[in-house]
Amino acid sequence: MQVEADVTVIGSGPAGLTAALYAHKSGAKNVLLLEREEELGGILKQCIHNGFGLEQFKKDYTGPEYAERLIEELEKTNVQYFLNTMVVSLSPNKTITAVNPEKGVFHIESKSVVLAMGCRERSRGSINIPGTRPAGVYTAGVAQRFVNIDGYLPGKEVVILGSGDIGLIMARRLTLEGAQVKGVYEIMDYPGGLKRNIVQCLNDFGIPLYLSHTVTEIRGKERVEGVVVSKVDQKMNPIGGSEQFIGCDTLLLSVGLIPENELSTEAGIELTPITKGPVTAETMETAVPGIFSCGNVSTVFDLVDYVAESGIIAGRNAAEFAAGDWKEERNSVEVTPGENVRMLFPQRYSFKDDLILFIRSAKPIEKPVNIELSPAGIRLKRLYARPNEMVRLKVPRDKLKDIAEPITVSITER
Amino acid sequence: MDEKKLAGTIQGEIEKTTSEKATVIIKDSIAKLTGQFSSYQSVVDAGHIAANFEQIREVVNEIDHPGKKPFVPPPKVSDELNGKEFDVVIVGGGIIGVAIARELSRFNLSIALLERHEDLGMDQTTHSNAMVHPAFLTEHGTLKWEMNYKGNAMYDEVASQLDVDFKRIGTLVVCENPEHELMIPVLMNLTKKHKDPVPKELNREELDKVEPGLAPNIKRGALVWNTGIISVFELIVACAENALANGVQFFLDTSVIGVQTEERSIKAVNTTRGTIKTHILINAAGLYGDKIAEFAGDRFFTIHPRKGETIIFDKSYQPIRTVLASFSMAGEREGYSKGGGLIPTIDGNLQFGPTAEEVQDREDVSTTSMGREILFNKFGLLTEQLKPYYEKPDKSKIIAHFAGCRAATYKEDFIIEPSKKVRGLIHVVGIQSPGLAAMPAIVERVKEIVTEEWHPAENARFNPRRKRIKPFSGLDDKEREELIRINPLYGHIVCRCEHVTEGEIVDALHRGIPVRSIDAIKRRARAGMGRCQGGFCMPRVLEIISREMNINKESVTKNGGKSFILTGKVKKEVRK
Repeated sequence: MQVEADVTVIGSGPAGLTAALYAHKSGAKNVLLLEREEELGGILKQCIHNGFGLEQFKKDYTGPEYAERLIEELEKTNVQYFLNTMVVSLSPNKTITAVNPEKGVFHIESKSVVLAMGCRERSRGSINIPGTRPAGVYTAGVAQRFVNIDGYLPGKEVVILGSGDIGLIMARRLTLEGAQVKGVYEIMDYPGGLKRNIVQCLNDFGIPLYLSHTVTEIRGKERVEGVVVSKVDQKMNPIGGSEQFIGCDTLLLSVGLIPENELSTEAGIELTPITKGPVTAETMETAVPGIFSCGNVSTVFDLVDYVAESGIIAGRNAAEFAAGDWKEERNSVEVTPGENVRMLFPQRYSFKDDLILFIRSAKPIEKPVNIELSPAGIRLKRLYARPNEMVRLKVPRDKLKDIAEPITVSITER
Repeated sequence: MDEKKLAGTIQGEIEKTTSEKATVIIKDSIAKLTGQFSSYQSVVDAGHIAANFEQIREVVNEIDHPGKKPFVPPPKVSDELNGKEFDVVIVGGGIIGVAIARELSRFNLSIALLERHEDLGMDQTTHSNAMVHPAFLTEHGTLKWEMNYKGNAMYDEVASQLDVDFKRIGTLVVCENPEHELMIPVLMNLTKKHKDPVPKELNREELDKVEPGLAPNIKRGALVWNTGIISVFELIVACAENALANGVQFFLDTSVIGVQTEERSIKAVNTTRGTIKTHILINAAGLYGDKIAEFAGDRFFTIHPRKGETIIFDKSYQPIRTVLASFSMAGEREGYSKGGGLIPTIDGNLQFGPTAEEVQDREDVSTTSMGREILFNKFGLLTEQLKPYYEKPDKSKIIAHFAGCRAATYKEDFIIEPSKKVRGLIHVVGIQSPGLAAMPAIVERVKEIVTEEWHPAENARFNPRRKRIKPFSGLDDKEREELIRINPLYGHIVCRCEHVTEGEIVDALHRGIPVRSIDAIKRRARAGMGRCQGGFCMPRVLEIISREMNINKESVTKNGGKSFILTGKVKKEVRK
């Protein structure tokens, strides 16, 4: 079976929904949205906390409400979507192979493709916690699904490793469901999640956050019986003698998210270690012409508003590409991280759109800083720079039009 | 030397080495050690010292040490098996027990297999490196060696009958300098003596075809080509399914807690689920082999568990194609392990391991940061040394770190023999590495023992073949299309890393071996085996198990027993 489309969007989380919607709004006639689960919405479905859409809709939605708003809008259009549909391969010439129970194996020939598969959580294996392998060790996202979608508790006495946002949100959620959260342990000397989540999810519930700590052993034969936590030194190595046993039946891991990049790799899309996602232009185009990427498959964003914004850009440009009026008028330039910048998105500027930069500092700087773009001579003043808070910086195209060399972004103390 | 005198000599030898006093009593060439030592390592050393005397057949080591825990058999849970009767009861559902069950189903015998875990192969089998070893590293003249070379040669037939992937990728031993080249004839002699097939000598050009990208200083090497890799879990499931099809009955979650004999003959086994009558009892109980022997009144050896830790890397990191070793490792063989090299799995994951550490607890499967460091120092350096242009081994590419215990006796050899004391009891114990390679030969030996004594009639309906269900991920589009048309569940991909479909999971649950845990599905269908380690699919697999097995979600376990995934429904806690 063969399906044809102008724009095909893979994934229907906030990025994919928005991209599909904006591809349609931008004139693409035949937009197709693919979702591997039985419903649209992606991870939003299990994010029943609020804080979604503050900037985009000026409303404080929960995840499902936010998804619903986009889905309602989508239902009014002629955008087609296939559920229970898994993309098993994507070729460099944009042929998609997908599988679902009704259509079996089928191919989609699409003029442009938008990748919006999101990200996945780092698991126990990749962070190497020694000890036994009992039940009760879950990523925070799995726990969130168990509680919010399935209605089950994954444990009653919980230790959380890592202070990523999902871990913080689950600390509160599990407490509200009657579990005892004994503490959140973070290996870095600063928290991983947003300030608002530290305050609203931990401080408000009296859940302690231990910085410069990690779990060095998991104990328990059938189910987790406890974990050993240790302080770590500046190089993040456990300090001998600081071990402390904490009895618990569950260890939740909130130790980072990685863009889902199997399909990108298969399509021959160049990835960058800076984000672990595709090298992307300000248009959201990847290194393969006509394949765009947006949301957390590109880089793990802090806020759904940023994810949606990248979806808007990707959808609009994918429609333009499909219409055949895609032209890069001049060679693009690289955008590269300079001093104190750990993460930078996008990594390429092609002079088509305004440049919306997302910047993460390499370390916390609790002093006034300048964020500088050289050679554009653009300088933004901030009171501090923290790795757990992305900086969004919009640079109008006009200010960049005369640039010929790579753009370097750096953060310096004032 | 009479046994009393020998006992004195051994006692002296133990004291000289460990500075501890043991009492040694020898009867019928079995040394029994008692005493009170200050460390467990000395206890193990004493056992090995006694076993090293040629006149000693095996060692029963009862020396006490601080922290020694008494063996407590598991409690009885039911009587549901009371009244059952079989010609043969096999204790232990590792690859050896299961393969014996399959082999004996060639005869008109009623056969039961008892496994203490909720699934088969949960101890040494799954924790092995899934490698079919060549015989040249196994001590010449031992039963282990004989079984190793014979078993290895039988593997193509076994894998083909059971429809299991098996590849003879070979052990490639490379010369890193001209002196190493002098070792090639030594290797040739060694393999000849050990009855491995003649290795292939390779020059650089030939090496590049077998193992591209070796360090420039490597000019020659030898490929011991009979080394194989296999999916060990597929193998045991295949064996079990074939045994099942030929009439064997499997009882999981069933531990033996006693053996009944009458006039020195086997009469029945007491299990945690009731008493089963039988007249042939095959002790393939691995780590608890000595306990089964003791229950039957025939204890003449002690199992001392030796833990091995292994690291598995993500498939995106595949620096090798062969089992890769260097002559520079020849002198480094330590203790009772064979030394090893870099081993790929049949699925394409690189492994580092295993380590070898004597531990007190037979259940100790914990991993340690020390173990990880040891493995990285040894194999990480070896990778960089032999393949310097390849990406360096990186800890962030580890997807699993696990440990298992080898069921070693002090003689460090296999024991495959009818009991000298109890009629109907057959010991198949002390099977440790290379037990997987030896499996087909061990099974053959057990068959000989059974046929010589009992002359069972052939089972005319025996079918040695089993057909696997090909994983969806390995099918082409046409095959996939066909499969989904017949059963739409094959169109629903549940595990996104390994592309495992709901159809395969449902199928794994209904193939006759009564499994119902997340890990059992992971081992059979590979759901959760990939880089996200079940992060995405685990809740979905749980749901499918609950639905298909008609059990509530709270009863689904990770790997049996009380390893429940969930602790209850939400809102209940709050209401309290």
